[in-house]
Parts: sequence; structure tokens; C-alpha cells
Amino acid sequence: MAAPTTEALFLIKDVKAGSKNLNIVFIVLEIGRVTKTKDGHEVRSCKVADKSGSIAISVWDELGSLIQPGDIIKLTRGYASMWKGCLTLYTGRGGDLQKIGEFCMVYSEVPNFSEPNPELLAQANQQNKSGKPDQNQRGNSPPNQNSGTPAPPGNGALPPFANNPPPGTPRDSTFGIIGRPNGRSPGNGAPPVNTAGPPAATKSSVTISNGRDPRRAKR
Amino acid sequence: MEPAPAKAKPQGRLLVSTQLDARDELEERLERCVVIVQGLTNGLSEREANDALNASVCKGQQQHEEVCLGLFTLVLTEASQAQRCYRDLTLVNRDGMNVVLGKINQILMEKFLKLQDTPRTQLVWLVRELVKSGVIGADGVIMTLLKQIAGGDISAKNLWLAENVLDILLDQKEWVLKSGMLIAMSVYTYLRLIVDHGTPNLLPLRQKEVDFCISMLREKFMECLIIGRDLVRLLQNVARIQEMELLWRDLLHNPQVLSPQFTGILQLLTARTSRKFLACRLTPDMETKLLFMTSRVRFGQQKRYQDWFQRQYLSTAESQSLRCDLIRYICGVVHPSNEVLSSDILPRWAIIGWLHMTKNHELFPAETK
Repeated sequence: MAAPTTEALFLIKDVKAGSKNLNIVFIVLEIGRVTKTKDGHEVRSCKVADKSGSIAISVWDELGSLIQPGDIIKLTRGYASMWKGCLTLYTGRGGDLQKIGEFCMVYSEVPNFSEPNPELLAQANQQNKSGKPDQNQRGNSPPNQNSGTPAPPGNGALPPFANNPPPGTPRDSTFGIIGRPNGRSPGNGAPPVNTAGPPAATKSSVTISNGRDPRRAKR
Repeated sequence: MEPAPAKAKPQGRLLVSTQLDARDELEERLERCVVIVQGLTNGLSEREANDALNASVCKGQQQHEEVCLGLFTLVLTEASQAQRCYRDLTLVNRDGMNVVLGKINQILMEKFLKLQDTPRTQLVWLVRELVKSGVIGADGVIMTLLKQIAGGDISAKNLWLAENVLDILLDQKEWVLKSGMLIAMSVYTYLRLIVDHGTPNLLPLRQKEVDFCISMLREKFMECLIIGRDLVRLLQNVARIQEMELLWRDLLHNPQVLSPQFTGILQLLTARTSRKFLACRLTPDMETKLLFMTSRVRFGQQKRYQDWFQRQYLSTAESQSLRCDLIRYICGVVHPSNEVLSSDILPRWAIIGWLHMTKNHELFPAETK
């Protein structure tokens, strides 16, 4: 096996649909709910991030059950494609997910590169209705060895990305304390900084699915 | 075809690992050394094996290191051969056990949480042997071992460690008495741990700890004074225990009984407590994570790190005693540079706020302080 360290590391922001041979180091932010594929496999969609942004990765079976939030993981020979309008990472043939540490990695949750792309989703819906083969949905099979219908990523476990205080609240008093404004403010008035990202990205509340149970949403 | 893992990783003999974990370099290196040692001694009589090992270590530093680390690893992984391997190690070692002490330190500071049961047991056994053999530097190893005993943790593993290290100290008391720093560190540690061991099933252990601390305090009070004013705080937290109450009376009204040089509690209160003591009550992993938060995480980005830390260390009722140690560490040990202070890195007051605010979320009342 080729030593992965000799290959260049990608950043999440450089991942595009169709990218292959991706070597990425990321930290796991959230693990989605587990869903079962038609042929009995378990899939979990995890939200992972590096300093350039976050993305969803689908992980099958045992590896998915071992991954924990906070794990720092190196993906080797991954690939990315669209799944229901969302850019998603997968482990490719000959590739691997390896935990190389935990906790001590700086990340940026925005931009979320797995945000559903409304245009593509609309396109997909259109083509479905007209019976034409949909380029997006066919080309995105998860790990090539899996012959069954790929299961949609889990939903519901990914809370809305909401680090913005409600308008009108002085920003200073909200940050730094878990969710509850309590009037404490930084002595020196240094404003808490949200890592820069396109404003549109931070407004979105759902990152992977539309909130409906994917099993019911299947037609 | 089901998605099979690309590489199946064999389980090592030292560390617990899953299919997800990357290979551990240290473990691999040590296991290679075992292979080397076994290659040298397979099929030979004890005498011949010894000669072979000796011949090898004479060849150079690299061979010396490989043989010593190979024997060291066998001590950890093969309990039945440990005595013999340790004896061989003492016979062939030529650097005062430094190469072994270094590896022990590395394992304690980086891998202790991941040790399998046998290696962990064996490691403590080995440390005791090093103490018995009078190896220079063994006191440092004992202090590093003390640091692995987590505050606010009454899991079986942690209690086992607390008790077994205490047994070494009790067993080797004369040796302990030679090191003022070791006396101070162990008293600081066990006075703190006593607070966690108040439930009925832990009282026998607590009594052992109390007896140890009292004997150190009464026989070597000036060495305990090295701790500084935090000794008063520690003693306050255990003041209701009978023997401690008696000690308090002497502290307040009869200081000369403790030591002719002890003038009274004011002397203690005016003595600064070194950061070393505040830090010694955090395990390496806790320190690593807190230091990461105070030096790399930006203000506003800390929520997930806090959640992960909390889930790992602050999720049980008994772990609440740890909060005080953490706050003390942030206040007393973490001293950010001006550069960090003027940046948007997570400020210490925010961490302290988090530690305070998430207290009392459990059903059990927090331990009274």
C-alpha cells in the first residue's frame, strides 16, 4: 500500500463533485443517525471539518459506529459526489479512514460545502418527473462495493448551525457562555469572531436533509 | 460484496485499538525490539541467551537500545516472564536504565489511557521494581505515575491505580522519605484524592490514604511545607476526618509538635504554591486539551470543544470535584503571552465561566467544599 503521507493533502474547500483520490485530514463534528441500506448495511452521515470549511461524509458499517465527535481522522483515497443535491465524501476502493488524534485541531464550520444546492436539487426533481436518467443521482453511488441502493444520510441529528445571536442582542454577551446570555461581557470589548464565510452559508439551518425522515421521503 | 476495510490492522500487544485507529508508531517500534530480542535468544539456554544479549548491547548504542526496549516490552506484555526479563534487563543495561525510564515516561504521558490491562498492571509492577532496585530517576517516574490518577474519577481502573501507587509508597517508605519533592507531591495528591473516596465502599482505601498523609505530615512536616499555602486548602477539605481534625488542632495551637521549625499557620499561608502542584492534578490528556483551548481556539468557536471535554471528564456526579482543579489550573498555570491575550483566542475567563455554569446540572448535589 502506498504510504498516504507522501501524497498531497486536500482541503475541504477544494473538494468538488467528481474529485477522486482525496487525502484529507479533518475533525469530526457530529455523527448523524444510523440508517440501514436495503442490503443490510449501516450508513452514517457525519459532519466533518478542517480550517477551510465543513462537509458531510458517509461512513459504512463498523467504522461508522467507531467514529466519535472530536476524532481527528485522515481520509485516504476518498472521493466526492453529489447525494440528493449535497456534496458528500466517501472512502474509495483502497482507501481508508484512520483516527490519528482527537480534539486538538482548529476548524471552521463555515462554509458548509455540503449545503444542498437548490438548483441541482430542482434539476434532479425535474428529471425524475420527466423520466429522464438523472445525472446527479446515478453518478453518486457510495463505495463501489456496495451494490444495494445507497441509503440516504441520516437526518435529524444535525442541529441547525446557529452561532448568530438574535438581532438586537449585544454580541458580546452571548458568546463564550453556552447558549445563555447572562450579561457577562468581555472586559476589553473584543468582539467574538465568527470565521468568515459567505453570509448565505451561515443562515442555512439544515445541512444535509430537509428534515424529513429519509425513509419516508423515498418515492 | 460488502464494503470491506482496505487494510485489516492486527491488534498490538500494548495498546487497545480498533479498526479505526491508525497504527501506533511507539507500539510498533517496541514490538520490533521484542522481535529482535527473541531472535537473539530463541532456543538458547538461559546462560547462552544472556551471553547473546550482552554481546549485542556491546555492539553499539542502537543495539543497546533495541535490547533494553525489547526486554522492557516483554516485561509489559508477558507477565509470566516479567521477573526473568527484568533481571536480564538489569544485567545488560548500561545507561542506568535511562532508555527505559524515558520510554516509561513517554507511555505515561501519551499512551496511558490506551494501555491494555496487562501492560498497565505490568507497568506499575515494573515501576515498583525500579524503586526497589534504587534506580536513579525512579522518583520522577512515581510522580508521573501519580499524575495519571484522575481526580473526580472512581472507576475501577482509576481506583486500582490510586491504590497500587499508594502501596508502592507505603511499601518503600524509607526510599520515599529521601525525596522531599516526592513527599510533597504524594501528600498533595492523596489529600486531594481523599475527597473523592468518601462513599462507604471506598472507606478502606480512604483510611489507607489518610494514614499515609498523616504519617508524612507528622514525620516530615517541613517537606510537606514545600507545597505552600495550598496545603491549607487541601487540609480544610478533609478537616472533618478524625485524624485530620487532630492534625488541625496541632496546626493551629501546637505547631512545634509538627516541627520545631514550624512557627505557625501564617508561615504556611504566606508560602506560594508552585504551579507544579496545580498542574500535577490534571492528567496529561486534560492538560493537552485545556491548553489547546486556551491557545488555539478562537472566542466564539469553543462550544464543541467544551462539549467534548465535558462529555469525557465532567459527566458524572463525582467528577464535579475535578472542576475546581481545572479552574485552579486555568488561573494558576495558564499564563498566555501578551500576543495571545490581545488576540481573539478564547480567554481564560470564558473557560472559567463555562466550568462554573455547567456545574450543578446533575441530580446529585456537588461535593461540599
